[in-house]
Amino acid sequence: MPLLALNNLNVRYGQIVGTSDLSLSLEAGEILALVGSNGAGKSSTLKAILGMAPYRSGKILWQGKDLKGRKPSEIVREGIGFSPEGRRVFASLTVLENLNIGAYSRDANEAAERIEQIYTYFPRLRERSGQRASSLSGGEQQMLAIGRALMSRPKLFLLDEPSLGLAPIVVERIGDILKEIQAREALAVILAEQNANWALALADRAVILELGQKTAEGPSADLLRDPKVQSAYLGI
Amino acid sequence: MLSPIIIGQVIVNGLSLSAIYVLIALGFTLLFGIMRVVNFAHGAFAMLGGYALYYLYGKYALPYPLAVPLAALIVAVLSLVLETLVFRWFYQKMFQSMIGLLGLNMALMFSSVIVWDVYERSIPPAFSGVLRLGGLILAADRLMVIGIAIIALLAFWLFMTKTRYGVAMRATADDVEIAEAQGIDTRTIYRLAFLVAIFMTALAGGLYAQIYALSPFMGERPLIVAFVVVILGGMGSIPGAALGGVILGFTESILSTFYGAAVSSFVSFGVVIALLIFRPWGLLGKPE
Ligand SMILES: Nc1ncnc2c1ncn2[C@@H]1O[C@H](COP(=O)(O)OP(=O)(O)OP(=O)(O)O)[C@@H](O)[C@H]1O
Ligand SMILES: [Mg+2]
Repeated sequence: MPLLALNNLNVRYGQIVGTSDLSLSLEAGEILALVGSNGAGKSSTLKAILGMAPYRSGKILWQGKDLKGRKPSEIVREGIGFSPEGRRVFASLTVLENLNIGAYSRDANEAAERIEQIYTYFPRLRERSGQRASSLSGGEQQMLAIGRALMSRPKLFLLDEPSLGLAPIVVERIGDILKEIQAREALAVILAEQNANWALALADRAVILELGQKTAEGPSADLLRDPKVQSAYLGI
Repeated sequence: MLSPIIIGQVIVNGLSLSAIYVLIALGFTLLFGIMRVVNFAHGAFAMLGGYALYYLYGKYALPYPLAVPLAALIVAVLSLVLETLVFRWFYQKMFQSMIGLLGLNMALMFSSVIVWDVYERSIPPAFSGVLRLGGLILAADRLMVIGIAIIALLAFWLFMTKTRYGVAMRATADDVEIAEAQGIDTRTIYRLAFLVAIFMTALAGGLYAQIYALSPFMGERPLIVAFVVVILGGMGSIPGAALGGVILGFTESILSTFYGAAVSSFVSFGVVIALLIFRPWGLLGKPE
C-alpha cells in the first residue's frame, strides 16, 4: 500500500479548476517533485491533501484511509507536515514559539528534544530563537517554516515553493539541508516548485502539472533528459 | 486646591478606573483581534457580570475574594451557549457581526429588564474606610479594585506568553488558516478566547457595578469605554488596550475631579475624534 495516493482528484473553487482528474502516489521515504508554472495546481494539490482546499470528486488515501471531511488539524495528527507557499510564519511570535506551535499536536515534553534537532539542522534558528519571526530574513523565515512543519515528526512533508524569492545560494543551502533531513528521518516529501531544475535535482520522481492536469510523470533523471520538459521548464 | 486628599483621590480613582477600563477593553480587543467580531453586546456581558456579583456577594454573601472571580466565571461559561448560537456565525465577518451583535445586545438588555426590572440596585462595598499613606488618603474599596485587576492582568499575561494555549491563541490571531494547518484545533481556540474575553469583561462589569450602580442599562457606558479605549490603543492590539485604558482612566479622573464629569466626557471623546482623524490606526495599532 502506498503511503499516499490521490485518485482522480478534482479540486474546484466554485467554477475555477484547481486540479482535474489528478492521480499520483507516493511511497514512504520518497521525494516527489510537483512541477508547473503559475496556476498549474501545485498548491491546490497540497492544500487538498491537508484538507484546506475543497474537492468535488476523487479520493485522497493516506495509508489506505480516506481523508475526506477531516479538518487540517486532524490531518496533521495523522503525520503530515506542511510548509505553506510564502512561508507564513507567525509574525508576532518568536522563533521558538513558532517552533513550539509546530509541535502543538504532540506531547509537550517531546518538543524540547525535537527543537534541539531542528536547531542542529538550522543553526541560524538557534541564534535567532528569541527574536520575532517578522524580523527574520526571507531565507531564515523559510528555514523556520520548514522547521515548524517538522516539529510534529511527520511521515510526509508537504513543502510549497521554498525557493520563492530567495537568492540562488540560499536555495542551494536549503536543498542540502532538506536532503540531509530526508535521509536521516526517512521522510517522504512532496515538493511543489516552479524552479524545475532545482526540484528535479532533489527529487526521486516528479509529476509535471499544467492547468491542473498531469502532463508527464517519471523518475527525475528521465524527465531531466526529456526534450519537451527541457524546453518548457528547464530553459534548455 | 492640590491637597493630599485630592491628590490621593485622583490617583486612586484614576488607577481603579484604568483597571476596569483595561479589563473591558482587553475582552473587546481579543474578540476583534482573534475572531474579527466587533462585539456590540460587550456592555451586556459587563452588565451580566454585575448581576452575578450582586447575587453571589450581595445576596448570598460569599466571601468577596471568591465571589468576584466566580461571578465572572459563571457568566463566561454560560455565555458559551451564546458563542455556539450566535457569535460563531459572525467570526471573520466584521460588518455582519456589528449588526448581529447589536441585536444580541438588545436581546440581553431587555431579557434582563424582564427578569430584574428596570430599577437600580447596589452591590455593597467590600471595604469601607481609608488607608493613610504618607499624607495621602486612599479609599480602601478602590484599592481592592486595583488589586483584583492587577492579578487578573498578570494571570492573563502569563497565560498568553507561557502556556501552550495562550501561544496557540496568538498564533491563531496572526494567521488562523496556517494555525489550523500546524495542528491547532482553531475551533477550540476560538471558544477559549471567547471564554477569556467574556471572563474579563464580566469581572470588570462586576467591579463597575459595585462602584456605580447596577441596572439592565448599565452596559452602555462600558461599551462606549471599550470602543474609546480600543480606538485609542489600536483595534486588536493588546498593549494598545492597556495603554488606552490607562490614558482614558486618568484623563477622566483628573478632569472630572477638577472640572466635572461633563468636561471630562467632552475632552475624552474630542481626543478620540482627533485621533481618528490624524492617526486612525490608534496609538499602538498598525495601519491597514
Ligand atoms: N482560494 C482560491 N479561490 C479561487 N481560486 C483559487 C484559489 N486558490 C487557487 N485558485 C485557482 O486555482 C488554480 C490553481 O492554483 P494553485 O494555487 O493551485 O496553482 P500553483 O501551481 O500553486 O501556482 P503558483 O505557482 O502561482 O503558486 C489557479 O487558477 C488559481 O487561480
Ligand atoms: Mg502555489
